[in-house]
Amino acid sequence: MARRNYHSAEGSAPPASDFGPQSLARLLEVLDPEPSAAAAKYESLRRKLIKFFEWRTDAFAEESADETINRIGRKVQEGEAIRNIWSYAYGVARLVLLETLRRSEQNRSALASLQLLGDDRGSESLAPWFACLDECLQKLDRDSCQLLVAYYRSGGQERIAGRKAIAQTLSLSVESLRMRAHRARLKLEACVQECIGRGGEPRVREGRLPTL
Amino acid sequence: MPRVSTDEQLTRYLLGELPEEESAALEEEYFADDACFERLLALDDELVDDYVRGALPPSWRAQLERRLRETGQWGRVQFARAVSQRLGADPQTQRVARTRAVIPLIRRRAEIFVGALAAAVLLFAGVAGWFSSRNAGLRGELARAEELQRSLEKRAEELQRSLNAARAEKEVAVQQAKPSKAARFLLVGTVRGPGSANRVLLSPDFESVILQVPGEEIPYPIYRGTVRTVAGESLLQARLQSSSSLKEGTTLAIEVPSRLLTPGLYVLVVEGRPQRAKWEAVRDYRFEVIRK
Repeated sequence: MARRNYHSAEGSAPPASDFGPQSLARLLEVLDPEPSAAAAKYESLRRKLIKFFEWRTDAFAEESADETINRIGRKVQEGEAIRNIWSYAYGVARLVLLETLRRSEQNRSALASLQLLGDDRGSESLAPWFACLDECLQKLDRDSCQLLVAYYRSGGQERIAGRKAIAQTLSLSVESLRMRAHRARLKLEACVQECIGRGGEPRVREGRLPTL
Repeated sequence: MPRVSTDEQLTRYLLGELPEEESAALEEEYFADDACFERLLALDDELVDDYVRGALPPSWRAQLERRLRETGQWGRVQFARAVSQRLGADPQTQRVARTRAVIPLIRRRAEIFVGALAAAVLLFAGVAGWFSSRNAGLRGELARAEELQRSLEKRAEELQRSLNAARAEKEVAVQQAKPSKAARFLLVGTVRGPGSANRVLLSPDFESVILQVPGEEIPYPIYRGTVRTVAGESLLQARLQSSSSLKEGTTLAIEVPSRLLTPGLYVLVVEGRPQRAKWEAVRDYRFEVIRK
């Protein structure tokens, strides 16, 4: 689904391009005086904001996250003293969310109907996903691949017992195992989504590999 | 002192079931704490996995599906489906997973070693011995992976049998315990003429309507239903879910938000799709919505 910047479209807030290099530089300084750490924290902040809006079922999560960052950037540029950037960002995000919900309430019914109608993706072929998954599993580092294979092998009905067994084998807590599997899955998913994005054509074909 | 939310709280938050005050506290927590945020991400993935395995209770399933659809994240479901079928515990797909995921990986690594060895042999004959042992190690690794596979398959089958029974009991208990906000109507036969349509009586309490139709004698692998006005305007199209009970036999059902159904005449168009073929018309069910 094509997304639109509804904030700027409705004229209630400046578009994302209003967030100039000076504002960005000031925001990065507030995040961390050290440039590479600041960049990492910026990415972390944006990711948290996107997820916050997604988990609150905002249909335009990325745009709302950018709008939040724009507002924080403007406040920083104006010289507002911010003691805790994370808490401040959350406060601004809540305001943006409230505005978004008010604005989109009237369109919610129509949007939901449109999305239900013609949404037949349940029967969409998984063939390109399998092709991409195979390619990406082969690209994945060995430890991550083996972990995922074991983790999802125990992903059925016996999940709890199976994962406990894996955690014991690796001398990890179940929580640490879950986080390791999650990170490995993130890498795999990013690769698969990228592959799907270029049309689901894997770069390496399984049949071309020589056998042992 | 930062608070640490439980898995249950995090899950309820992800499903939009946590009270607003607790949601806000949790959001403050994960904005400040990367570990908490990562836990949420991992749990969110697990929810999607449970969704594709059909392991979520109906109300959670509906909540998650709504969020994923409205926020344009349906690709995550397709990814989880692919992972579940390739790597998952379904016995029919385990062999595929083994041959397509584990063995090619190990083979590929072995091939890299073989290639490296071929070059090395020209320079250092002694490396041949190293390769031999390395290759043997890889073969041993393959054998161990297969052994692990077999033992997990066996254990999965045993646990699956007992857990299937427990899951069915729990599902029934949950259904009985929760007051449904959906009205259920069984539409019968192909009824013609404006005076004899099925009647769907709706009260304002119901958030949605579940329309059920009898299962077909010659079943299709999948069905879909389209709700249309008698004027032909499509309101909703979705997969029909099949279920069986002693009382009603096999039925197909579609859930329709009540807000879409204003009083009037509608048609539920049922279509089925054979394997690798196009949708075929099965039957039309006329019904009249009457508001209390």
